[in-house]
Amino acid sequence: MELQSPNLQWLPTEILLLILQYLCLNDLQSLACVNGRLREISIPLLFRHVRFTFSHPGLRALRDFAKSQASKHVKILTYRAPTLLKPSLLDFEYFKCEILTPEAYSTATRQFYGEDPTGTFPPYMEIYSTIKHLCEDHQRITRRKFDLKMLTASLELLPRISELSIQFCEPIDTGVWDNSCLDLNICDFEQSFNHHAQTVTEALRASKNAGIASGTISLDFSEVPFCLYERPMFSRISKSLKGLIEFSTSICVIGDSTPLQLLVDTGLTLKCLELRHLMIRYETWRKLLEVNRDSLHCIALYDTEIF
Amino acid sequence: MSVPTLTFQSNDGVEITVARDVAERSVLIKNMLGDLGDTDEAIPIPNVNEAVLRKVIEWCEHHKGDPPNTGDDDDSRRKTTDIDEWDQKFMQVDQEMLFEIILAANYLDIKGLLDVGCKTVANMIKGKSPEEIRKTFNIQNDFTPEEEDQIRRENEWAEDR
Repeated sequence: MELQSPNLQWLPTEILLLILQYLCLNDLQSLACVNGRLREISIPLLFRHVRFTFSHPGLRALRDFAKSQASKHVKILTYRAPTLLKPSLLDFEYFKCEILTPEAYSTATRQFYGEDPTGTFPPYMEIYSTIKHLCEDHQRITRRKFDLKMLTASLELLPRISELSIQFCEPIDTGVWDNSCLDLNICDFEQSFNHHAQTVTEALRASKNAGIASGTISLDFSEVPFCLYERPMFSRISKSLKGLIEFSTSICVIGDSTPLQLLVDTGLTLKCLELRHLMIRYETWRKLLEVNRDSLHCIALYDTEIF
Repeated sequence: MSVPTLTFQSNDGVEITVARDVAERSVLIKNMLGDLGDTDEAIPIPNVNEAVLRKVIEWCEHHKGDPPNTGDDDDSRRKTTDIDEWDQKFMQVDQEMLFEIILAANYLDIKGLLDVGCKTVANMIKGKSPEEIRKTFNIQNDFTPEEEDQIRRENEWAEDR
């Protein structure tokens, strides 16, 4: 009887796919939990774009996902690359004296929350232990090249991938506490950028993933633009950037135009260039176009100001 | 001059006469007439019963003046679920009828009606939790609690766009 009267789940696959086109990510996620048939139908759309983070659980999840059936549907992989914490933070004395003295902590608490008893930072030792655990996690990953191994193994298993997006981000989620209030100098931006760029480049080379070579590499700085940091050593960054960009001739840069100045210097030839949410100097823009005059055949600009 | 007509026969044996331009909203019928030429005989519609066929014809009559579909939809972009007022009222039917209309529109190849049907179903899914979707559509959960946990975790990896 159930099979005879039409029901959502028994609609032909092609009709269900038409319905799915109208749903947003949240709706697809709900639908995929309803039952086996609807999950099967939702998977190709749901996992078109996936996101994993540089952390032990994140990298393990990426590997497990790559082994699953759903991985063959991935077109875009976003890799969230947090700024690495300085290894010296593992030393409590260093933290106490150089990063956040107990006096600075109580000043900051008073300054931001005054006498408001509901708004306080986490206890001093909780801040330290969060930072310490994170730092240990980063150290363990980089020492054992766990990120490189997991990325390489996973990229090999994503046959349809056509875009790899590296999303540089803060190491500590603002949900834990708002680091910008404390303004702790705990990150090594230059080293982080080099590490992530080199790791991804090596993983791409080792996995020989042809999809990305003919696809796009995105560099997303919108959460941590270069301009927030003390001017890093561009010469050192440009080397790892060059390695990464050599892998594909289609590049998307989001949130900060600094990499574009570096691109001009490296003299690489790009076929496609996409810019989003950034401001670029006219001079840099002009040079970029000049260097790539013969190769560039596609430019896309979103929310980009040339000044 | 009288309007040229066609006769359809539903799968429960009822004959319904329709103006030819209305019937040609169905690409299946249009192509069939193109291949076979005019016919005085009733055209059997084997998958569609009378009630559903009448609804489908009602929709085609209302939309007979619509411009033909260009068919160059951009598939990568998510589509809007806006439905015009007349169509919304038209689609206020029970679920069984709604799915029958969608199946008939698919079989008869009436893209506009199929789209409205799919949008209506999408709107019934939107904003609901898995349990609410099960209730709305009378679907049994065939996952074990462990599978459900696993699925929730995996869903977290999905990203918009």
